[in-house]
Amino acid sequence: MITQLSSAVLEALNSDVDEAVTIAQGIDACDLGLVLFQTVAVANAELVPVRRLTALYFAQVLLGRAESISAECATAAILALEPFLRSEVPHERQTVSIIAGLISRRFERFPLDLDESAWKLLPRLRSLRESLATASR
Amino acid sequence: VLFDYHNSSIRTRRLENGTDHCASGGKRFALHDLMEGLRQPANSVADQLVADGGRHKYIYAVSEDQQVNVAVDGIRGTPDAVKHESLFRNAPVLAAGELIITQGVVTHVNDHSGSYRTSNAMNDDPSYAAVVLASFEAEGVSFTAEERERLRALAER
Repeated sequence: MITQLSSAVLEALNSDVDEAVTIAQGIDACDLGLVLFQTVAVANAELVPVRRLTALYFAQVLLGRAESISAECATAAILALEPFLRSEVPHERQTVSIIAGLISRRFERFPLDLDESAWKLLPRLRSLRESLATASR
Repeated sequence: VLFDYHNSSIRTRRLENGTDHCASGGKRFALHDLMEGLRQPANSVADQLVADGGRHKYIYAVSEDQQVNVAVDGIRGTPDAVKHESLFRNAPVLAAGELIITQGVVTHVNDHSGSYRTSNAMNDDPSYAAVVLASFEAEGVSFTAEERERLRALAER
């Protein structure tokens, strides 16, 4: 299964970002949470800006099927996003902000499902949006 | 919030690969003109449509001043293909995605744009659906009752 999941992430990373939706739709719902975590972790570790942004966007697309993502995997993904609080790239900050917003909406009815540290981190990730109007100009 | 493509690493890679379509010579239309064209089949705009039993799928983008441009989605990397970045020549946008028009009525609007990275933004930010609804209606678009209600609900959360 790990090889299969890695292939999906690798395919997304090496594709044009236009393909992210198609690739995300091809991932089995029961693997979705793990792919989300893995994608964010890859984005975090990636040194090449375009691959980092593509991975973040892929995670953003995956969250369109957020009903299939477990609290455990969402927690892991949120904690892996923490380094992006210091990102100086507006596009990364915007994408991370959207990811945090989507996760918030998924878990807002069941806040206790998330690890407490992840739940506390979400508003900080979400607030990255506030600096975008200035940073993107 | 504006979505930027021009300064992104994705555009840089596309420039290297020859797959950026900012300067595409392909046809793009103001949404208002497209709707008029659909109402008048002899109109030249209608000649550009991809006919599929009266059902047409387009890409759209909403500019900072809430103008809406649309086109038939092209294949990236092919000559004169129109992609989202072509619609406003790389300018930042308030929204981008795909729409389906059936018999002159918009039956579905989504937020799928890799270039502007807007997928699921409509579920995240109520202002995204509000911008789409307001700007489309300002262009004279009619929605099905179901689609208008869906957008309105997203905008008013």
